[in-house]
Amino acid sequence: MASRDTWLILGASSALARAFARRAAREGARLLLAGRDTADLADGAADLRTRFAADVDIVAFDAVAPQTHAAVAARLASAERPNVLLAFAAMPMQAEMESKPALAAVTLDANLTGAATILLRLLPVLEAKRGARVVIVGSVAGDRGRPRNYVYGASKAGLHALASGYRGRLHRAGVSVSLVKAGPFDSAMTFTRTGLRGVATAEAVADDCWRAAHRRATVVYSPATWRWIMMAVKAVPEPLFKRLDV
Amino acid sequence: MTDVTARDDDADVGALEGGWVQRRLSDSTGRATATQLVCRPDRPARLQSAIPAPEGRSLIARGGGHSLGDATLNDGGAVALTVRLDRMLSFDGASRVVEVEAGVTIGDILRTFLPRGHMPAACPAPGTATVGGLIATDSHGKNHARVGSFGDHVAWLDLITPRHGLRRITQEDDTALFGATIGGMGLTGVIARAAIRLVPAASAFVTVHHQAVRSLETLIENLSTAAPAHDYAAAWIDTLATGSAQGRGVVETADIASASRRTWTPMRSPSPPRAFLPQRTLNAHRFRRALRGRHSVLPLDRFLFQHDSTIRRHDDRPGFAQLQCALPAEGATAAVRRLLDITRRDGGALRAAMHVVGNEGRGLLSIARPGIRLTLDLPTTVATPNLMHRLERETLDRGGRIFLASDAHLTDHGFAAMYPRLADFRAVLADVDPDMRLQSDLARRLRLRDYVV
Repeated sequence: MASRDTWLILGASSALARAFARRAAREGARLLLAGRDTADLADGAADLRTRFAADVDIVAFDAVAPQTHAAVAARLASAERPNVLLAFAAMPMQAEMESKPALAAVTLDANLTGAATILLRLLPVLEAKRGARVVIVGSVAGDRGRPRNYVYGASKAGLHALASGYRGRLHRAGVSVSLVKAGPFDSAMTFTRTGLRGVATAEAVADDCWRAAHRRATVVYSPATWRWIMMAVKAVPEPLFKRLDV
Repeated sequence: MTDVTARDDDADVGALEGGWVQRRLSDSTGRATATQLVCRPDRPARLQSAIPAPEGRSLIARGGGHSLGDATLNDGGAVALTVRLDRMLSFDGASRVVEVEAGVTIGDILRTFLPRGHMPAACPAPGTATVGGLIATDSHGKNHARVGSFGDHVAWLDLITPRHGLRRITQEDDTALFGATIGGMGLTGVIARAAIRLVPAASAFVTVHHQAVRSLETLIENLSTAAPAHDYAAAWIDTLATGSAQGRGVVETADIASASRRTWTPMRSPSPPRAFLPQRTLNAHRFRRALRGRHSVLPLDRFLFQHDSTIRRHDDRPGFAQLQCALPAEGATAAVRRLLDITRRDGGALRAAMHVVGNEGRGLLSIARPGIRLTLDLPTTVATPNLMHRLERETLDRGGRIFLASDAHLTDHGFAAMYPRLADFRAVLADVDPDMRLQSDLARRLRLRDYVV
């Protein structure tokens, strides 16, 4: 990808976003880091400048605060070749949400409502410039609801549908929308979860995101083996599935 | 809205507040393990909130986790992993000072700056060791005689102490605390950031020369004369040689090439260890190959971190201990011979290596002192507490010091006798950590303070 590319990274503080930003900066792209913790974004920007002499900017963005979205879109509009990585998500423990249902609203607000608002806000920006690439980080949890994390799964399932429609909407404008359905990987989100050993690294998932953007892929699983696992999971009939503890 | 703390980034609304989880960690040989609360902050603010640790527990920071003993274990306490604090924050081309977070690895700094013509003066292996860990252990590489330890190149530190919180400290303004932190095994506070002075790198390649030597005396003599004359110098002893061949070894010297026509690319992975032949055969081969002197040109990172794979191999083979000690220059030969003899009677060391140490370290607990640094790798079948204790006594009698980061057997009185500046160190701890919030298994074993256990 040419060096005039600008990548807007939504939720730039996560391990995945950090790895993706490094990858993009190494390839010479300009970066616009968006997130809530602007002090941390400033550190992230400094890192990319120090390592790769990259051209990096930061912008305050909160998925559940739509008033911050217009500024993000305006910043991206000034880019010559805009691209977007949507990498924010909230994943409270399912058990916690069951005791505090308000948490479920927060999860859906951030993962789905927030994603929809910002993507719609970015729609005219992307439509105006042909050739943009959008990468949306989904989850294998969105392929089928499981007792362990069905609210998170529901938010991601919604995001998958959103990505599909968004892809069709932007297809004629020459914009590719790649959905990367990530399996569990080693991030702060999964660190406290026990029983998650030998999972993929954030760098590997970030590389998959980068490749998906490069190939203008539509839907990819990361790591790729999850395609076959989820194929099997989705094939289980519901009467049987409800009895399974997966 | 509600009490969700992290939304856009990584939500860790886990069982415990602040991303803590109960986990078992082990030292890098897999011998010692401990169960503790563990967190892995990915930004400085979260590292700061890890102090004090939850439930009134004590805390220790852990970088790459390469300590061979219990230095980064805290049974029943808490451990903060710093590996995700891996950002380089600035680089000043004029003064060659790079400002990094504590979890940045030495290999990362080398690979980032080598193409631009800079490198860290001291590059202790393995390449995955973190800056925080290298400062806390005041480690050094094969060039101590020339450049000193890693801690000698620290311009300033951002240290989070239990008493004062986050503070930037320098050698000039906070002499005592700075000296205690360099080589202080993480007990003065958690290092959040550090500024490291780099040096110019003429090229990304080294010319290496191996010369076989038939006796221990000549080996140490050659090593001592080579160390000031070359950029890097080390000696390897064939511990499995018998009879008249005992004490033979190879002196390795290396100099950074003035210029190279080869283009440098970062090392992908360390070379795999050759494990399919008996070690005795490999050792003999290594010796014979260097009999007439052997030259080679290696990329700098491969040269510096060539044993990384060996370390990794030891990882999944539990049962390997190390004696790493600094011995005074006078009587070094006799001391090394004696230590080798003691281990040989019990089965022998796997590997033995020597480096020359130039000057006294900057830290109160730095191992560095002028003389010879000996590293003995011992299989656990050999490294019984009894043997380790005898080696400790011998090291102490010869005026030597045992390296805390690779130690698992040192006794508290042996430790107190080896480190004369311990009283100053304790005074600093009493000042910055009055409630003993920072502890590790190592600190308790060595009774660094009057812990109530």
